[in-house]
Amino acid sequence: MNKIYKNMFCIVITLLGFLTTSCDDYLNVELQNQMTFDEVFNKRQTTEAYLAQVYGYLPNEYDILWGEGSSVSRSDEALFSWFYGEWESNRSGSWGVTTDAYHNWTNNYKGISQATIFINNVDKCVEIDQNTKDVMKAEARFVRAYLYFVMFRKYGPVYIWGDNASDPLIKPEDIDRHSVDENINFILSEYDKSIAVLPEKITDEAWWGRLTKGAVMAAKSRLTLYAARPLFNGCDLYKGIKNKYGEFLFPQTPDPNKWEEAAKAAKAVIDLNIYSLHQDTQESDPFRKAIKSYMGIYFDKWNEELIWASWQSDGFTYNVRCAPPRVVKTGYGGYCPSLKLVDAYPMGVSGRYPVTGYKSDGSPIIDPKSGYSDEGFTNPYTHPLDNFATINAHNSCVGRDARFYASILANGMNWINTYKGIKLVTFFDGGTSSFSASGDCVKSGYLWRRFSDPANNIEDDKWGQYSWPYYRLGEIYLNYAEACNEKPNRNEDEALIYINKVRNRSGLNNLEVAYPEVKGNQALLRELLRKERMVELAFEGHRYYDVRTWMIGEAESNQPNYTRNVAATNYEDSWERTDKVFPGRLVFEPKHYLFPLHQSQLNEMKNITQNYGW
Amino acid sequence: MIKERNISTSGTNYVKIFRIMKLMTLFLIIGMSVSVAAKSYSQSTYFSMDLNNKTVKDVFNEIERKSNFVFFYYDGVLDVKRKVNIEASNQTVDKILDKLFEGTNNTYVIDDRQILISRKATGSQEPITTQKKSMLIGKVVDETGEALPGAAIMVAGSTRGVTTDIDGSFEIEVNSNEKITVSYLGMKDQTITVGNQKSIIIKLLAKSDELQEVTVVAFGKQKKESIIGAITTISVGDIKMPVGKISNNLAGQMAGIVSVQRSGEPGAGSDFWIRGVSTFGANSKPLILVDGIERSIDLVDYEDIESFSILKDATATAVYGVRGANGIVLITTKRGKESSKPSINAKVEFGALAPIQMPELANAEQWINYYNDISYDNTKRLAFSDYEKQKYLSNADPDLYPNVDWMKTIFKDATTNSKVNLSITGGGKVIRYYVAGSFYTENGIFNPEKLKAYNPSMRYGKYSFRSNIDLDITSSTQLALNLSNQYETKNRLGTDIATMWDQVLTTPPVAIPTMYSDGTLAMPLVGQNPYYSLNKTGFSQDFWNTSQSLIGITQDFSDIITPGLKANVKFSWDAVNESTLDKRKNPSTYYATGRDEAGELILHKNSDGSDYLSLSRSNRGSRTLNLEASATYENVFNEVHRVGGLVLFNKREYTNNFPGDYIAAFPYRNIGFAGRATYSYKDTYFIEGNFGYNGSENFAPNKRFGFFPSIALGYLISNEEYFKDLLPVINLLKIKGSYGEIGNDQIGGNRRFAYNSEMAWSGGYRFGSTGQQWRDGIATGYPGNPNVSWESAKKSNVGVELGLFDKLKIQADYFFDKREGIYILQESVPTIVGNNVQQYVNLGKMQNQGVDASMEYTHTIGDFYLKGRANFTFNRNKKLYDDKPTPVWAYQEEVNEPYDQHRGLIALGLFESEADIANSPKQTFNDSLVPGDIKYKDINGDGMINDYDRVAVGYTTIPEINYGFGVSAGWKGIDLSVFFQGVDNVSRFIGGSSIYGQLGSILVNGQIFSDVADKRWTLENPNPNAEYPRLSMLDRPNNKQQSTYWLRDMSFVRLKNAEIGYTIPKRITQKIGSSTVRVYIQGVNLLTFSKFKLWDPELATGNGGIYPQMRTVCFGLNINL
Repeated sequence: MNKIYKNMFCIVITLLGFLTTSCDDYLNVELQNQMTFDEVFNKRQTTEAYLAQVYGYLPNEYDILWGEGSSVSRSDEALFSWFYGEWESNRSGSWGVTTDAYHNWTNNYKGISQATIFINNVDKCVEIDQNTKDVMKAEARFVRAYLYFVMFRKYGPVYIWGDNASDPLIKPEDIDRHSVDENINFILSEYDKSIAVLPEKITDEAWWGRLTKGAVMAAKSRLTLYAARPLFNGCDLYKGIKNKYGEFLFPQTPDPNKWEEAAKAAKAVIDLNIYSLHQDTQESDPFRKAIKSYMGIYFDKWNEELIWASWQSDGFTYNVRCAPPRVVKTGYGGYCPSLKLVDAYPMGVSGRYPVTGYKSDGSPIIDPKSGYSDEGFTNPYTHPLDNFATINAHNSCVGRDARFYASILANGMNWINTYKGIKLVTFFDGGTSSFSASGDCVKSGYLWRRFSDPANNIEDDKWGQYSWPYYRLGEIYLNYAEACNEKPNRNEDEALIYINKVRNRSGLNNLEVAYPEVKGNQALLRELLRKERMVELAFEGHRYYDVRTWMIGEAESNQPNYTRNVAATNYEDSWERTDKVFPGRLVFEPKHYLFPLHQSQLNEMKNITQNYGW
Repeated sequence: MIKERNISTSGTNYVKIFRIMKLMTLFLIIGMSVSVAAKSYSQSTYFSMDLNNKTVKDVFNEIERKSNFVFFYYDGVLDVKRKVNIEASNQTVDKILDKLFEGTNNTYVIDDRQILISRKATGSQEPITTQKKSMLIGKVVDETGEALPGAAIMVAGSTRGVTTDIDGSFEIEVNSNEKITVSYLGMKDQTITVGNQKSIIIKLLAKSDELQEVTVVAFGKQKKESIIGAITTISVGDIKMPVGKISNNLAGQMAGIVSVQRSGEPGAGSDFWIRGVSTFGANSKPLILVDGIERSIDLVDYEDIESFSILKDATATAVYGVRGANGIVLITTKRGKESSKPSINAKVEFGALAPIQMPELANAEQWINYYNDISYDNTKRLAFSDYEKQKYLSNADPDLYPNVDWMKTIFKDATTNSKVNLSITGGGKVIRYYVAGSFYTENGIFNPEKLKAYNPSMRYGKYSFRSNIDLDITSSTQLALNLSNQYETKNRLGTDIATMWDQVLTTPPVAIPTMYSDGTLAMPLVGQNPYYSLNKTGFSQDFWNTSQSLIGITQDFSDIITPGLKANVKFSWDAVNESTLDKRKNPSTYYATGRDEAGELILHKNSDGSDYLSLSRSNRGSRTLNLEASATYENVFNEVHRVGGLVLFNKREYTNNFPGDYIAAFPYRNIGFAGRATYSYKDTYFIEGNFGYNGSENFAPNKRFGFFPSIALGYLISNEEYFKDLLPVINLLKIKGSYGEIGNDQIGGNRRFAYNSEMAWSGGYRFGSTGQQWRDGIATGYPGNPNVSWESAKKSNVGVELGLFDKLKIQADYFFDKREGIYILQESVPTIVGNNVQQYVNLGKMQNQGVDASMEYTHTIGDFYLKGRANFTFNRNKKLYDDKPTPVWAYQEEVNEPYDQHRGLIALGLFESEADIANSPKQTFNDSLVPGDIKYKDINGDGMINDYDRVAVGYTTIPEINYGFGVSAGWKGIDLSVFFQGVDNVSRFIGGSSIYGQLGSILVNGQIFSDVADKRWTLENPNPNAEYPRLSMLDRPNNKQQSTYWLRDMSFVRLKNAEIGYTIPKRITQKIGSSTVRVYIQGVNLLTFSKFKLWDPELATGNGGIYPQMRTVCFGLNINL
């Protein structure tokens, strides 16, 4: 028995091993320290943070190189200087279903899902009153609808989840795109729901940039306008395509009444009477005032013309590419307007658009009544805004409208400010911002200056900040004018009134004064409206989609990349027009009206319908 | 092995004993048996002799001369000088002896080859009366016949006792009905009934030889013949090779091991799998248990290993439950044994190492020719004129026209390693110990200049000790204490090894001098200088310290509760500390652009650097606790029912001492129960059931625990009565099969606690009047999946064991493993769902099947022995489900193909002409093609060669076939062994700029292989069958596509180990007080045979830029005291 006693401690230890531990406790992990879903939607701060995240999915349309704003670089209004880059393969047509650039499908659907989660859960928050929660819900609802719109304008119709949370168990083979009408109707109905709830103004300055009634109404204006235009309104090209559910993806016949809807939507924004075209109040000289009024849309923050804007805190990425290399300390010089855009600016006195077309050799067909000359120089010439010193100006830069001087930094002009002295900018080979075969230079002969605030001393690393407009009243006026010109019950007077408001702000005469023949001429008014739109909304991300929704891609785009001959070794010769400086063409095939669905989407959803031609 | 040799050289040894015995004045002895193998030698040995008037001694000599018989007798027992006449023709020895002793008072006993001569008992043949005390004379010897001095002889039940003399002899007074007990340290006690014997030889058996009969299994040991799981054990001697890490020695050694050594860097180990890769989840590596605790295999010194086995099937691994699916490696370390004196073993090895193969790069002439060729091809002008070329080749102006062999500059031809091992083992009845220490060091092949300030040479060192102590607290209670520590250091270059290799492989010989002749540090404006990277960039020091401790108590309840019941509690605590110090500098460098009028170099500074070492530091560490309590039972009923059982509880906790985030700071925990029941009938029919019930903290509360059962059946046919007649031919025949389910909780994914939904701070937006109000965003993070669980493996195994003629043993197994619930990204969820974080799910499926087999052969003829062994493993896996979207072309599906199957285009050779290009399908990787570009096959017939034409080609980088074979032989003191290892069904894509040409900066980055320089397509020699395509200055993506053109067969056979040794005869070594002294020369990786010639085929590289495997020749000395 003694032995047993001796061994007792061994037995005890053995048993201890079994008993000291409760298995589940041992494996339990205290994860309480982590934020949970329910907690997020309980508190004000985290609920607001969730909404901020949903806002964060709004596309960056200010980034015109890589972001959603890259439609600028891919359209005929711009000719950036770099040969490499996806934007160039996109322009030259050498891209396809496996090209990754500019696809925003995946990210937009993530945003849509996040917005839905917010909409479906925000009511749980006990720290926020119901009214505010409804507003927040309406904001998320708009963001969700807008993300659908962003895809819609690029891909055409897409799969619509509607108000339902996305279903991770959905069978990939059951998925196809819903029709154009379903897409538009869903987005519009969501817009309407938001309009009903959102406030007219954000009173708390700390929250400026949040959505308002007007913002969503402006969005509705643009969408209804797109819906009325040929691409989404019964064009032949997309006829007959059915999705796997057996529905036609696109409307089979045009419905002119959609113009009526567009006119109504635009007028509704105008009738809010909250917004007005921006006017400079400092300048007394009418032409300088006109220039500054147009410039002020970007430079006067949160001005009265902006219907909805987003804050851009980093002016560097944009403006460094608008700065002439070597003239300023840091300048990449790549953001150049196309020669076509430069040609589009009207003449200040006649109010007529100087170039009516191009000959086969690329030389312009000049409207003789416009007063435009593409030959010779005016020396000395004083820039109407930057009167730092006289310059030897090419005659094409003389006598243009205010927006030309606000937007274009031409060869031979002075740099926009004189913080570091007066600096002449010339782009020819040997000039102050000399052309070179490789490296940073300006190829079209012009730099985009509309975003470069002369108040910014970029050589002192002050690159500026912007309240970048998603929607501004100028666009709405032109939307309205276009719809009035097109709608079955055509209203030419209204159309002229609103296009003239835009023209007058920039110091131009009324359109019917410049073009008396426009009266009663729907087609001419249409053409002039398109010119006006190209000029007024230049580099704001409209041109790419306008060309497509109007379905004028083939006519507007298939041409060599004409530039001024900056490869010349002297200033005078550098004003010749040439297609040698920038080889290649801007290619447009019918399939380019819409983006292809990317191969990875085709792979994962076997039955999804690809766009025409891809 | 040394012991075996002593037994088999019986002739010489017994003659020697005979001489010694002659000097003694003692009586006769009987009863010694050494060998059981030979039967009735005396009846099968025949003599013919005709001796007249010779002495008895002469007769003995004659018999000894003609046979293996040895005579034993003590002086005075018989008259050896008596003259006799013996005439015999083909008679057995007993007939001759009968005649010889006719009429004398001598008699004899033949015991195998020993003939013991004694006096006939005086008086009657009746047994001596039991009560009478008589003198018993005897001798105590060990198995080899060596005398055991100091052995205790006790008369059972009395206090009478004596001890043996220096020669092992004793003398004791006993009654014939009494028993004596003989005991000796380290030997099993023996009790003998005296009876009427007058003299006796008592052979004691060593206690510790149990390993010969048992196999180490999960949580215990089992009799070898009752093993019905798939377990392979290796003799530790076979994996003793003079390298730093034991994992490098496993390749080809065991059936079921798939091993690859991917780098030869000092201190690098190998990757290995048991029966190949069975999952494409996060972890396919086996669980490694050292003394029952999960520990790193490479921290174990092979000299410390007592047993090494791998557990391959469900029945062997089920008790590990959620952690056993990938197989298990079980290592036990040596323990002390009872012995009269400590046994000291010292081993010293010095080795010379040289790379098996270094990449051979183009020399200056080859390179200039190549550069001129591609330059002419693209620009119609030569890059170097003949004059310039001569300037480079002549070495007349090495500053401006350098010509550097970078391989020779950066690397040495050979380097060294050394290893010292010392172990002391011994103990008494109460305490036994095994204490060992070792030191290993290996130098790298980099050849930096050693400076006083610092030394960037590569050098790995490992110091380790191990102390295993067993203490008998009571006769049935044993305490075990294992302590070990490994201290590793490594010194290495200031430049990352991969970068260093990249620079050597890409820097042309003419790019830059090592230094300018005035001592200025050289660096091209673009590109690198390998010499600078090697010598001038500082150095790094790594340090790892691991301490491992274990305490265990075993209680035998045989006398308290029931026979055969034991319980054990084990607790272990391990800690790892690691640190790295990076000491860096970057002195300013210059490049020369010519000479000034005075002939001085015109130097330009690249950029300002620092001449002083800077320091950055990192630390890592972890700690692990293990607790295990178990009870085992083993008993035999009615001599036919053998019953065994095990119940076990364990828990483990691993903690990262330097967690990167809140989640990583949680300890990793496992807990579980396990059980085993075994039953055998007549040791012929076996059944075994195992289970593990355990869990891991990784999973949701209701998903944490799993039950993992397995069952196995075995039939030892050769144990059957009816099989008896076959035994001389087939001495062993066993068939066995097992089935079970095992788990794998190391499932990866990218986070722990996947059941838990996470919210993430993510995104945000800027609001406010001036936009200064950035609002951080919150988004749903990882979705919680409450169903996340382990992978589950369903494993089946059938096997056969066959023994032939007692010499050849064959084992073969077929296995089939189906893995389900592999944790993979849910890729089938379409993007329109908008999951912002892709979720991992237990959806993957994979199967793996194959065979592994091994063969052992042993043969002994006299002094000569021969052993052969071979093993073979083949496995092929395939993915069954991977949740990837269905590809457009069905042949691009990865499902139903091996995991990591190579995919690529099928190359049809090189284009021969423009017409050839025009007539072939359009290849879309390049804008335009030229003759000499690679031509591909249009798989889907769409007239285009693009990504859709990629198909499965070749194998994977992990070999499907692994094998090894070797022989060892010995004769007297000389032993010799060779071992070959090979792999097959393995392939790899090669590539990189040194093979298909650099794009841009060719002058400083464009070095190519010598083989490429010689065998490429050129304008002068437009060979459509050239081994390398047309190289270009321009980007040729067409020629860089993964295709069969770049796919190489990486199979090889190598002479993994060869050893020749000599054991100095005992008669010499005993004089210096040592029992054995062996000297040997051992070679590792001496020869490699492979179709692939550019670098060693086993290395994990497609461009040759990795530290090569080493060929080692080492001299060793092993002394046993």
